[in-house]
Amino acid sequence: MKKFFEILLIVIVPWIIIFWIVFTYNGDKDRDFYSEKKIEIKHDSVPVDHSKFAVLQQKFKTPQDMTKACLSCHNGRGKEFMKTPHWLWLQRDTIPGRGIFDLGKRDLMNNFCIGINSNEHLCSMCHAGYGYSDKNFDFHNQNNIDCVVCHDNTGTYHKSNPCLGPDNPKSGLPALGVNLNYVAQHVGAPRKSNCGQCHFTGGGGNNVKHGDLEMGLLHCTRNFDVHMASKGKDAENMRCQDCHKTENHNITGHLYTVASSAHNRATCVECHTDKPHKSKLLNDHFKTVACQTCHIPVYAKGFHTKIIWDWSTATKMDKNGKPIFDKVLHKDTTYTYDGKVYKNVEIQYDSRHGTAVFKKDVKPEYIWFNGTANHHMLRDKIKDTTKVLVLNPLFGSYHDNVDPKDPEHPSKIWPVKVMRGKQPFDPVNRLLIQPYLAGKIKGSGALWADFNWEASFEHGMKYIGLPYSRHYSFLKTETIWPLNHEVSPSDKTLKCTDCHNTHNSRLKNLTGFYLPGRDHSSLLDNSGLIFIILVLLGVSIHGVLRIVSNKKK
Amino acid sequence: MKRVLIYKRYERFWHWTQAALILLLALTGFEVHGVYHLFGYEQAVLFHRNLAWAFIILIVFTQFWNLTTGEWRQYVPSTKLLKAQIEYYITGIFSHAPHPTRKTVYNKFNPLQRLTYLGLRILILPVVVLSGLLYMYYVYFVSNGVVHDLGPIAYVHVAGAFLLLGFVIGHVYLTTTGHKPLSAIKAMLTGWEEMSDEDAEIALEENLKVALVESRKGISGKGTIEKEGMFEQAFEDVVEKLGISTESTRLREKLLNSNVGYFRINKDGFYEEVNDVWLSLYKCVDKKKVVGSHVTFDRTSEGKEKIMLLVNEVLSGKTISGERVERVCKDGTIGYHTVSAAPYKDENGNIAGLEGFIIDITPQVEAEKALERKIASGHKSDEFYNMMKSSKEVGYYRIGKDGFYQDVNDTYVKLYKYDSKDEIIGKHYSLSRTKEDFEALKKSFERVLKGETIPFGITRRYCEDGSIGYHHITMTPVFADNKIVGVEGFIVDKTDRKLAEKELKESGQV
Repeated sequence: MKKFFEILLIVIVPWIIIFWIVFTYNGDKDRDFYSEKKIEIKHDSVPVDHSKFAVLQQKFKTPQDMTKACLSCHNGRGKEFMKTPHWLWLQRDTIPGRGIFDLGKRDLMNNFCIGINSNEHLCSMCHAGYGYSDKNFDFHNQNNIDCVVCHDNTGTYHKSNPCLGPDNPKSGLPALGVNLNYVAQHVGAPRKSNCGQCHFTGGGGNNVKHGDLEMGLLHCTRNFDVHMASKGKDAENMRCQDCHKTENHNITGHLYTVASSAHNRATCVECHTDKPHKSKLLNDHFKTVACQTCHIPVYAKGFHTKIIWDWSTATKMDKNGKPIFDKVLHKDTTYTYDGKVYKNVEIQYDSRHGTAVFKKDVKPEYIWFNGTANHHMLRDKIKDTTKVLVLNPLFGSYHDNVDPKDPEHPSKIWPVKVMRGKQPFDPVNRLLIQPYLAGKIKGSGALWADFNWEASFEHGMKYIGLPYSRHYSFLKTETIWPLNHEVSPSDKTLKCTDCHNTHNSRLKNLTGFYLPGRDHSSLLDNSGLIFIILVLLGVSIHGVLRIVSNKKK
Repeated sequence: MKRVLIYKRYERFWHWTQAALILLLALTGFEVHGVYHLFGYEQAVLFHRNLAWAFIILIVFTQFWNLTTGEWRQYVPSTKLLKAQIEYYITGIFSHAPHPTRKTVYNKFNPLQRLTYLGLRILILPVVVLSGLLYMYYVYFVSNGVVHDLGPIAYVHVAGAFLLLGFVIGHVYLTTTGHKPLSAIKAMLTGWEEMSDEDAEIALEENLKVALVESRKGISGKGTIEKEGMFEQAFEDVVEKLGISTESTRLREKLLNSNVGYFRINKDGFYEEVNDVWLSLYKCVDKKKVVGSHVTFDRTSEGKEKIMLLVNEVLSGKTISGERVERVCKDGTIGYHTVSAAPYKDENGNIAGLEGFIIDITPQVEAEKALERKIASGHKSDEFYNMMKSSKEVGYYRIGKDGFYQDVNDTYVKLYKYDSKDEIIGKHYSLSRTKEDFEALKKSFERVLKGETIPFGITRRYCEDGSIGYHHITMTPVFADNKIVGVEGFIVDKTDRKLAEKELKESGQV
């Protein structure tokens, strides 16, 4: 009995105490973590009633008249606005190692609709101005600013879509039937729908381009987007400008498809801190993992986004020699592109665009990103036409954290949408080709009228003043779209094992560093296993021999 | 089968805590490594970190314990019998050869264990702990540019984990090679190891030998005994428990009266003065014959050389204490004593000679030699008991099941300061004990009656004249017809060197 108590005291009681402490103590609790309650969203006070202003009572004949009326009170705002990329479609930015450039839609190509040049009259339906029909547009005439596309609070203002018919005005003018007086008398701070009408539908439809910006954000729950949620419990119903803080029409935030440096950004830590978790271990991840990586586990939650666009199949006609428009080939299928299989995708074909692949609920891809990017600009030569050309390579590597060349911009793992595609290029001049796409007049050279690549290229390249050798081919390209929206609530984020996992890590393509739980030295593990097996085998044989020799005796 | 106390309480606490920690560390660690899912990755990481800190704290405590108790010496590797031990596991174990080494409280580990545990302590554990700390705080090291890749750290850590796991498997298996398959595990739990009679006896002999050497060291203050510190601690434990002071005046007086001899020698090496104890130790009657004789007169040839070295050392101004020397007594027998001496000075402050004390250690040295001879010759236990019984240093006793003395030897009688055996035999062992001492002894007594062997202990005795003494004690059961009929064992006196030193000081010589 005494012995029992002694064992109890020497072994069992210490075990209970030690392991109770070990299994309940949470040394990982961050006691200085930032309280979410400190985040305060201030909405503007009730604005003035614009319907009472005499200048807005006049019957506006042109939208420019309306803008003139706006600027008669808001004087100075026009000059201010004309410096912004919403107007210029250019922004002065630094490409590390290359210099300072005016970057923007006007001198970059992408692998969606390729480029605006020669197609401005269509593209400018998303330009915050009137009459941007070609490269000769006067960027200094403030009466051409479209104030109400952003400030309309009635929801009745739309820009005209020339694709809907020949009667519809081009070049960013208001749609037919818009009551400009009604709109002008009901203006205010932008609503989600104002931003969304361009930013949600870029690339030709809902969520086509970004993947994390879609119409669904206008009416969604917290699971869809924890910030913008307007439905359900605890919906914050935040507006775009609550994060994209704006002063003097300078809106913070820009995407690295048209920007290259980490200035003027809208970031999570504007509101949250760099240690927002209750767990130290999780807060330590801040050094190497962007918030978005865990908090945007999936994007395109509401609507398909385009992930592949193969221009090389465009211009094919149906059996009758007629062009095919927006035909859904398969709704839920697999698509193999560049050796990789994409599951549960929708494939569409259009003679004007070629083959497009859409996917909903997409898992992001992950890259090391330090907040700076390079760009393949119009005049850049393609170095290797056999390889995939990344149009906006994002800078960053694991090594940035070990030996940071620029400590201001440490690299973090970021979730991105990678847009893949095949787009035309000139193998002789080693230049990407700007096609002339948007046009309805046969014989104009517009691809969507003539379905003739050569004419389209000839016209497009001439327009931007670059040589065209009359030889063309299609190049595999990628654009990389860092994800920032459709943030999931804390219980829907990635779990540890989504990355720290041997077989199915989300970071399986990010190599060159050791990730616990994912990485192994198979030599070491196999040697270890063999060692353990040998030990077990050794003691088993030894034990059996002992038993046998005991029996003999 | 006998049971011998091997493991102390702290060791058992430490061992089982460490065992549980290592197993749980492995369990959580291999989950973090991605081998399986058990706790969930986040919990596994958290537990692994907490377990790691508990492990580190335990290691620090245990190393402190090892250092302060001198137990670290158990890990000093020895190649002696290493080959024999390996051969035993490869071949001997199958032919039922005896274990080449015995487990005792002073020497718990066989040479193979010593080597393995040392390897664990200085190689595998530090590597695993250091790589673990680097792993845990990697994010801070990497941002300072100290470490560039977690890979090598992780690989070292994982390799260490495999080695540890392999060790645990081998270790658990080898526990089954004791007297019975579960003997070693039981011993680690209870502290008492089951051994064959023969092994237990050898363990007993080893312990007794250490007790003897320790006893002499207590007098001389020198001695090259390996287990330095262990006995002092045990002794102090007992003293503290019994609530008495080691500076007891009575004890010191008794010791002085019993065996401290005084001498003074002039600077040429001739005796000037000796006391009665000195004379009796040298078996001389006439003091006049000694005074005036040279210090080398009564020595063996080696002894002459040693004594002159010591004399010259003291004459050069040094103080010596506890040097062991031999002497040739008047009747031609050889005796042993320790000598402590200091120079004395004339009125002008010049060294005029030396004086000091000698303490007899002849019986102890003889007992040691007898024991060593016995161990070397491998005689059977009866002879060992007989040899020990006749020793002048080792006291022997046998007490019946009922608690009454059945037999004691002369040394036992002498240590308790009785005149004859008859005064003890037939009496109950509560004789000459306080109530507390008796209660403490009774517990041990009852344990031994259940078949356990107490290979060492320190206890207090009240001698016939009222003085108090201390001794090391061994207790083993007496068997007759496979039944325990009593308790027998040895006692070895434990005297205190400090007392002699103090006497030297008080006499104003130092």
